[in-house]
Amino acid sequence: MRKVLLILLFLISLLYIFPIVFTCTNSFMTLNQINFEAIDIIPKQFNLQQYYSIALEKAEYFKFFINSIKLTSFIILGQVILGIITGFAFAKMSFKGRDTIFIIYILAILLPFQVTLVPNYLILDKMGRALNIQILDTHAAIILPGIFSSFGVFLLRQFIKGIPDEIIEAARIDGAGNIRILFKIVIPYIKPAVFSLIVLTFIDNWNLLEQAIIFIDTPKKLPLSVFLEQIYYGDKKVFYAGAVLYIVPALIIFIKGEKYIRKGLVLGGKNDE
Amino acid sequence: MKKIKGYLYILPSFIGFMILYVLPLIWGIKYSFSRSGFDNTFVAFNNYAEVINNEAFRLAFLNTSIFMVIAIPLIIILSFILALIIFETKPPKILMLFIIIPMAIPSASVAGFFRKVFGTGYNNLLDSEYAMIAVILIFIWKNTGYNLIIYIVSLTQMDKSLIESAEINGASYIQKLKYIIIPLLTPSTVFVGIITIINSFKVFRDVYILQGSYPNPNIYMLQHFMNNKFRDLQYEKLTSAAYIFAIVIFIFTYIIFIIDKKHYKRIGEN
Repeated sequence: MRKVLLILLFLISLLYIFPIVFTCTNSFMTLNQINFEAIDIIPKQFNLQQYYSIALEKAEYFKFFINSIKLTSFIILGQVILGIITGFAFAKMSFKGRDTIFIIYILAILLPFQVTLVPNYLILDKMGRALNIQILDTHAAIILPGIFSSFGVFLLRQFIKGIPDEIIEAARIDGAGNIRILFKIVIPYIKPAVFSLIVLTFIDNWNLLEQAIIFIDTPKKLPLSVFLEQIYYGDKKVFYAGAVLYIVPALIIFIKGEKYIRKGLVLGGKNDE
Repeated sequence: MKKIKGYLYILPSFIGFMILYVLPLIWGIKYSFSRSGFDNTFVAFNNYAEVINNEAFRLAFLNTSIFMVIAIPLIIILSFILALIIFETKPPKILMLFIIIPMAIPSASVAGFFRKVFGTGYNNLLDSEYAMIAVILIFIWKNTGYNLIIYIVSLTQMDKSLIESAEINGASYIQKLKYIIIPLLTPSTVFVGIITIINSFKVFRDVYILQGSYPNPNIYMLQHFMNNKFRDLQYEKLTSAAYIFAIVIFIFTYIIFIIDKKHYKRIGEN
């Protein structure tokens, strides 16, 4: 029985990995072989032409790559900083209305981007006009909503809640203030959670698309996801190499951080109220 | 003083969150009751009625519902079964990694593959009336990972003593599953359900990448409707559609929570 199940699992796992293997091996093929109707995964001859072409003829690819890196890293940075400070307050400080506000934060996670999209667009437009700066059609239009989405606060709050109160009380008795407690106790304690937040935020925003097609008009400001889609129709001969280069950072971060994601997803689901 | 400090800590996040999420949502309600985004005349529920009677909206709503009603239970059952198999057989780690890796893969990068598999030839799936099958398969492929991780961890953290005592009493595997494992895992299933609902909205990315703003009508989703209304600057229709959408989601989530509550009650009674 175990053997049968293992074989079944093996076959299923092959199905899951196949699209990625296909994309990877196709990046070493010539355009002729790619355009061939059948689903082919073995290059007739190992060929780096696609990678050369992207580096030499399609160098703007890397500009979009940098756009994606910029968007993703700013969002991660903001999510982590706000997540730690706000999560700490929600978990370990008492103030009136705390739990009500936190519930609103949770409800906001449930709202799909499509619901917040227009309100978001309108407010960014208004903000831009009021402050006399351009927000729409700049990366800030994607970064700001990304930073203030409540996911990071929610996730880190769940972890900080797990720090025993006695440890924090003991530090208070020793005369430590909140900021000291934050740096000396909370941050070291929740390091795995922060990594988990970084990986999950990265995965989501590296793949971001909806925000870009709504908020960004200038083509050169688009993230890689939109650009890669255009490449498929325009320069198919470099598409697969572009796709592989797009996958690599996500794959490295994912494999390095997989164990943290596990912690993050599990604690996120703990109901402690 | 102590009481005020808490507010100070949440302030930066709270201001941004209010300005970018809460206020605009409340503000959008005004739009949904106005003649248009540029004319504030109060028109009561006209926009809502128009949206509900709009053919494109109905199609989008129907497709999104079909997608959610089929894909969500399917992926939950599949990830539960896969988690059980992994839990019971302890396979090499790499197999599980293969199954969860797709969650990290950007949609645009595998579009070449999915176009080739589902969208080539004369009788291709993406242009047929069964295109939803392709969308559901892509969704399952991409999102099994999240659910699998949650289920596997909860299985390993499960109270083993109950299962052992059931084994001593000669319970079959199906009985163990039905009376112990599934009930014990219900809280995880609720969480998996919520994660799946959140992820199900992101399937738009995949459809958009494969077929653009005006896809095969069989996979025209609510998100397409909204994006296209947005392009036409029909904010009043768009906000109305968004609120209808939000209400449906909250009802969905509420049902899940009710199931969860019932479950705890049952455990309490036993």
